[in-house]
Amino acid sequence: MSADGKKLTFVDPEKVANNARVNDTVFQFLSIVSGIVCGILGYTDLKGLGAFFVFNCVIGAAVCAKLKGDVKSHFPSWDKIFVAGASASAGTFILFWTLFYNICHLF
Amino acid sequence: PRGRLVCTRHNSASMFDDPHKLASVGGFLLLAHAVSLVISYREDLKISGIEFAGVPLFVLAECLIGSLCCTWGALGFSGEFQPIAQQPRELPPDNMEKMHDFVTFNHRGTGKTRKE
Repeated sequence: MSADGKKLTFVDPEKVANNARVNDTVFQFLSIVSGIVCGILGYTDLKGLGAFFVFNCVIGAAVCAKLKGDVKSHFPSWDKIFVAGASASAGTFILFWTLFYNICHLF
Repeated sequence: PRGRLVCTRHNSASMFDDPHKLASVGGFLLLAHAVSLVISYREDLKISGIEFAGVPLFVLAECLIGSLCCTWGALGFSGEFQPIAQQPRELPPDNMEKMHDFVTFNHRGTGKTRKE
């Protein structure tokens, strides 16, 4: 117990870093896939942006499914999965989205 | 003896042993096939003069199946999640004698107790 009476939880920093690395790997890889799919489907402008958010929600749900819903035991908070993963994969998504849109629909 | 050649065998896991990696590769191949289908579909539309409104249903189905394969593969080969709670560990046994931080034996009292 801390001085103000709050219950403290001791976490292993190596395992926190490992979980963050695995989460980033999943989001990076699946952002490539989702960028390719958006390019194939011909999404542009806000449609593509909306697809990015939908895909990231689906990827985050897949990560939670792998954890069997027990997020608190593996991550300090929910945003460590969704926000950290989405911010790490945004550039990759845009790259593959524009690349495959150009390949399928322009050239 | 010197100069003897030693041959070692490395038991390295190849990509084909891991079903998750195979599923990811299969998913990418499906997406590549979907790309080729969309390109040929767009060419057909250009020839017939019809404006592009959306991809056909079979392309959508291929994208969906390829995405699912890649998702399952990524969740498998990316690694395992570990619980972050720190496990209690045993401290080393406290069986060392209590020693002062600083001990000196060469002080003024030594002369009194020294037996000549």
